[in-house]
Amino acid sequence: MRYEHHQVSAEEMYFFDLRGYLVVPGILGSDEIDAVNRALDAKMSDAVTLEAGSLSGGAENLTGDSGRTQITGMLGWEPEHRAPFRRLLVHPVVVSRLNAFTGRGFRLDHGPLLISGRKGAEGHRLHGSGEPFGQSVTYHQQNGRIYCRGVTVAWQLADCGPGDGGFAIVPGSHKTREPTPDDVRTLNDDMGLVEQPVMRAGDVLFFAETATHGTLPWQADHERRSVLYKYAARGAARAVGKYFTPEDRLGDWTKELTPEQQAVLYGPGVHHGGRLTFLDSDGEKAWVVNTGT
Amino acid sequence: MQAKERYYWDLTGHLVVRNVLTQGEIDEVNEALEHVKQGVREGRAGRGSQGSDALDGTPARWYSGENLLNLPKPHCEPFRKLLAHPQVVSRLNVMCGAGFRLDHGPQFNNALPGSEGLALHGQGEPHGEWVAYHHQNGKTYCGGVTVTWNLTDCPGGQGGFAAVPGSHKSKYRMPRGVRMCDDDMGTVVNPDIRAGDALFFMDGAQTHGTLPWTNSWERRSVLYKYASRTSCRTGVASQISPPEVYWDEATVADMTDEERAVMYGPCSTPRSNGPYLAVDDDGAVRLENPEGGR
Repeated sequence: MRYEHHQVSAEEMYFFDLRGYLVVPGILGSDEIDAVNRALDAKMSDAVTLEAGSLSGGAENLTGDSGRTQITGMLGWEPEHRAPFRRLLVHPVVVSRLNAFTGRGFRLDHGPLLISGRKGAEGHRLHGSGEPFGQSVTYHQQNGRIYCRGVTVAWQLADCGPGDGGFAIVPGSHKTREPTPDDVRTLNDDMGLVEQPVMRAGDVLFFAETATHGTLPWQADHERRSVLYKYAARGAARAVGKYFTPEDRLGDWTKELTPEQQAVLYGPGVHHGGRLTFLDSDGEKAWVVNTGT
Repeated sequence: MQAKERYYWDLTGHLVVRNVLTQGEIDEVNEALEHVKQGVREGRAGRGSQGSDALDGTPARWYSGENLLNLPKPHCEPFRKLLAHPQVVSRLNVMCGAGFRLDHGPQFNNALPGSEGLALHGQGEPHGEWVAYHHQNGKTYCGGVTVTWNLTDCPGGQGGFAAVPGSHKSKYRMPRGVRMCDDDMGTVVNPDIRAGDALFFMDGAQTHGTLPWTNSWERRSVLYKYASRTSCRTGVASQISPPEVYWDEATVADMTDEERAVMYGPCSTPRSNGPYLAVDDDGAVRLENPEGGR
């Protein structure tokens, strides 16, 4: 593939549209990789390791003896530790690709998030798909332009060789109109559709969040390290932010409203942690349903 | 929402549901509007018609003041009743999907006899991701739907809401003659809508606007601007989108302008249109509109 360092090439556009992901190799030099890793090393005492089984979801082919280790909040760390992550936030390779994949005015929805694991760490059940349609992360192409509402940029800080595990994807699944079979999500029978892209430390991965993706158990002797920045299109929201409830967005007067009226005044986003209420109606009356789901 | 309604909605991009409000309910809303009449402002001459002879008239009028949902009691009550009206919930659960939300409004639009129109806007090309229309496997997904409650009769062909049916699926830019309604190629409709009817239309995906008001009575409508769960257009979102407001102080402290540019909260139309980024040939990231977002 022909890459243009400061612009997205026609071949990259073709590949991303066809496959739903793109790896741009060799973007970070060893000094830059070291700077990010040093900052992480200084803060790893704040990292959280999830319980084994929490992400593999009972899938036999994804199980491991430990859970994923993760840490976030890097952009707000002390200046010496946050600097490498802020450099990645608007790296020219990111800006040039996201202007093309997401559209001008793209924004960081949430993250960065370090994903780490030692040999034997479990995988992550595959998620995301074209059906049912997920409005928060839709993929659309029209008249030569791509409009992807959710693109994650994953900076690789350690090699992911063939068979090492780590990021996995079903290429082309961002365009499917059929539900993803459970056997694909669990890798019980992936029909040869799941791919684990080979990446080196310093490479940067872009993937459409609507594509079916997840993580294979980590098999390499060295620690896996990847830092994910979750970007979104200008008018798209996944994280709900600080101003989510009617009261936080519009003021105390919303407390006077009925639960049904309050239900339509929440802010945008899907990561609401069960705080959102939904409505149903028979045309004569409307009522709140499945509160807390 | 009936199958016939779904068909009409998918085909045209708008839907009129008849006789939703009783005369008593219409009177209740109109009475509440009497209390905000002093807040109705006249726009700049030609602002709506944009120089089009076909849309020309006296300046358009709309209410600008306290949110109608937060008026002193009892004047807020009629507007609150409409917010999650059963006829709205049953349609928007289909049109937008579960978890739809009020993005901004309600907005009181007013026209006197001879009021100008509003140039047509919204279209399928370029694609507007926050208001886009999509249909898949028997389900519809629309990012932005406006519900207009009509408080006075709007006889077809005599002004008021106008739309280009089917334009939410167009992949070509709207010709200027359509926008200005002076060479619309017969594509623009001005549907018959009566007091008490509820109009649903795709706000942004479908080409729509207003024709000059030619009737002898005042036009009154109240618009509720809904969005799907993950779409964000304007309203309060534009006030809370600046990085220092949307995130915590530590996260954005001492960021460069380029870094701040990607830290805005979701909002399709942030104040000052928001800052955008570009990459120079030498690889430097720069702001395309340095004054944006200030």
